[in-house]
Amino acid sequence: MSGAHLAIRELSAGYQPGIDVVREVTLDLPPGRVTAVVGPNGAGKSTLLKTVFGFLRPRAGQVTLDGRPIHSLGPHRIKGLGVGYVPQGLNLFPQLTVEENLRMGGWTLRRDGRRLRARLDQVYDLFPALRQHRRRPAHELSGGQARMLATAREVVPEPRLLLVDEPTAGLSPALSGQVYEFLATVRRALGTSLLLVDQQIQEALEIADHVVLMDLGRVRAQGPRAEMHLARVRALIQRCLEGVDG
Amino acid sequence: MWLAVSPGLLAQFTLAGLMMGVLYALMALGITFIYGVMKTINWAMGEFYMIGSFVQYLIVSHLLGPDLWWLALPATAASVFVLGMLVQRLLLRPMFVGGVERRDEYATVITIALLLLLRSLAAVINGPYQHTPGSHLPDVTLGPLSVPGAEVAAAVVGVLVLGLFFLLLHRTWPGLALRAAAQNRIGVQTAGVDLLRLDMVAFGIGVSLAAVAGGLLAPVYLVYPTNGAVATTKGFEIIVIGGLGSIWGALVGGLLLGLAEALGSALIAPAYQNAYGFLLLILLLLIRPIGLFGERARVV
Amino acid sequence: MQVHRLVWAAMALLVVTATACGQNRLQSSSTTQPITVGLITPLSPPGDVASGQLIQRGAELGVEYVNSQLHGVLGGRKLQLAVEDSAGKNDQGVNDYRLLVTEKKAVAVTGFFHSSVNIAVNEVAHQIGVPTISTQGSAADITAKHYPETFRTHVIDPIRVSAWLQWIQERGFKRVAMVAETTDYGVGLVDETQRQARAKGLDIAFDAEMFDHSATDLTPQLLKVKAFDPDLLINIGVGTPMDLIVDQAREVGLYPQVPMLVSYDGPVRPQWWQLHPQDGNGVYFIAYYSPREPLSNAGQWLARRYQERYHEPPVYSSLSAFGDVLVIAEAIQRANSADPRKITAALASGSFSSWTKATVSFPNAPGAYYHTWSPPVLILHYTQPNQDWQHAELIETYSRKT
Repeated sequence: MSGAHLAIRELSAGYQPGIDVVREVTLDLPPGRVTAVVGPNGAGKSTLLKTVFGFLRPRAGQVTLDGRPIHSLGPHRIKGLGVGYVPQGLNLFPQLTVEENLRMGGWTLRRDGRRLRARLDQVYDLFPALRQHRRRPAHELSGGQARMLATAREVVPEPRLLLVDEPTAGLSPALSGQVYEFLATVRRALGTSLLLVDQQIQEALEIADHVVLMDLGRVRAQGPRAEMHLARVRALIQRCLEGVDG
Repeated sequence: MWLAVSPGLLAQFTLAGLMMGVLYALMALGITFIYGVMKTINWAMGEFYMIGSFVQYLIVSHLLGPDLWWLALPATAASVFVLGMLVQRLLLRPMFVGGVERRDEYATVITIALLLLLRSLAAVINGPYQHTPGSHLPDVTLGPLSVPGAEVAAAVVGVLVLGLFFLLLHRTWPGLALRAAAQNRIGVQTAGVDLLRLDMVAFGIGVSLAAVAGGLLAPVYLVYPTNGAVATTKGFEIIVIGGLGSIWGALVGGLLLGLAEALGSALIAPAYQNAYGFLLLILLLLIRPIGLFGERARVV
Repeated sequence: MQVHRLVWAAMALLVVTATACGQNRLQSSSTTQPITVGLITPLSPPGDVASGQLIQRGAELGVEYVNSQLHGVLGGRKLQLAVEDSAGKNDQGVNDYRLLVTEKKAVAVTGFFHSSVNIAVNEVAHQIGVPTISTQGSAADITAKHYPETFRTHVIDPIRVSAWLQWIQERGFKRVAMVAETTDYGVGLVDETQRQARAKGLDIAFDAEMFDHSATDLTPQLLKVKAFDPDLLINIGVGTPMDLIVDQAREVGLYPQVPMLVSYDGPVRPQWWQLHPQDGNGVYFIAYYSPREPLSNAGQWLARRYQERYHEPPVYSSLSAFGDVLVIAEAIQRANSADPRKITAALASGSFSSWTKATVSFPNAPGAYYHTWSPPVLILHYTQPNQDWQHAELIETYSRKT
């Protein structure tokens, strides 16, 4: 399984007519690569992911997946093309069991029972702790287990592109580390392209191949990780906060 | 005021109350189910009960005859299911596709307007008539009480329908998606579910449950344009008793309401039958305001 | 100067002529314009919609009769009906009355079914002066306040009760159960029955079980009645409750072992036998006309038209409403005016024909009998299944002897 190529061209989007939260963003995510989007609060990072996944209709610009335009599709259609979305916070079904949560993750595979069963087994192999708790309702899981489940769920249908929004928000350093381990596991196992948004710059940079800095809806800087190293990124963010153009 | 009731008669009242409670549960289930998935209250639920009773009456009296009432019932449920989906698509979907800021008010206004429209339309079309599909089912004797066969059949089929509903929810893919949507509407979308279509299905299922109750009770409580009003009242009493959004709450609440009304009528005075349910409701609100099975929002 | 005067004179003549012509046109249009009769009746819940619809049917046919058979009123002016829905609510009824009287220029208003609505409207009628005729309101206060503008053509409780108490005495019933809805109608009949029985010193035991009009399960009440062991059950439900009592009384083993009297003419309708193919036989019920108590020519016309249009005989609600429109038309003729005050005076002083052969008048009588006319009350009895009501056994006719 290889990752998808995501191309975003001059994308503008917002929640209210006339007010763009994402402004003329252009970026490329090569297949199988990890792109980290960093920047201050209110930069439009999460909105970018929502727009790519179809929760928001863009006002202008284009999003293509392996060359196919997807910017006018709804979330369920985009999901069907192999895109997963891990939103901010936990995106679980609290009263469903672990297994039921994973099965919901495999919704797009529901007509292929055999394949779904195989995928569930593979996911359990990747995350053995979930197998142990498969019959427990999700709300009974610990914080770390819940994060694991949230990630695992998105992985069931073998996504070719995973959009991950602030996976470590509000978490302790230990848990944050665990979450990034899950993401690394997924990337190794599936070769999935990853578009990752995080305020925890250090961890995001460690996993990223390419880094994009956004501020006030626009891309201020981007480049390979070697260029966009931690110190430089921090300095750029500081300039953004001081209101100096990047 | 106190009716001297023998233990035998009391037992019969209890049984009658439980039987009625099953039908009440069906009415309430539709309301709570729709709320669970769509987070909106359908105030017009009673009118779908009324439509179900009319459809059942028309199919039985013009096509199948009273002996095949059980064949008419799935047709009644299916036709109101389709109607429900249409109503959701045309009137309620705008809430979810943007442009509607105050969703709760919108849903309230739309469904109350629908209630008035359906009720008035039925009155105009039907005229000043009441109908019955009739029933050839023999009466069932329960102690000193003779219960119409149609009423017993309604309770039995009601239990079957509840069972089918639980099977749907817990053993099928659509059921899993519906349960999931009731817990996390963003989550089902990220799972790849077409939520707009799921809402249509949920609404259709909800109103068809009320229609089944109407169809089952058509030979017992007659068919006329305003017969849904009681269903609406009872339905909402039950979801407050049982907890809004809780399916178990609808079932237990329905049974409790049926019992409260039957036992209150038997032991105190039948004239205040409707009041006993409200007394139960007030009592529960004092002890447990979220309802027996209600839950404050639970997030992981 | 001469020319100027001529021009002014010509202009003045033109103005006067135009004004005169305009006046004439106005006068002639007001003498050919239809006269509006207002109808306030329940056409949506929580009002009794079925009754309102039946009343509307009768009133519409009344207007049709006046226009087609009597050729209108006041030298050919047509009557027209303006219908407003009270929904059984007092404030809505009052608004309807104001609308009818001020905007639609109704000269009289009728159609009332719910007593409470009628009473509320009559307070306003007393101020404004457009008369009201109660089609089916039974509460005493509708006319007991002796407002000159208020009239009634309905069997009020004392008359209905007097009729059935007479029958009860004749038949020797000693234990009478009443199952009644908690409306003005139901409560009024229960209270009046017990009051009259006491006043007449009758040795009869009563049991009254009440129920909400919206209730569907009346078994608890009927079981209580069964425990009372009556020899007569009076069914004081209207519409669906009346039918439910018949069904459920049989279910609890009360009926037909105990004879049942239905308090109004619901069983006249063909749907009676559709709803009660077996249980409908043997029931006693109140009616207001029969082949032995024939209809007037107008009533016969109504019966024919009603049957053609609605495929069933007219029931009381329709009869009464038809009669009210007829009475209003006759009052307009008698007053030779469409002035509501003159119509009121004509109603109070005249005698009128209606759907029944009995003459309608509105006497200055004491209490609730003030300005009230009541048709005769018959008790009929179905003696075989699927019986045409006109062939039902006529037990007796009771007319109030003034």
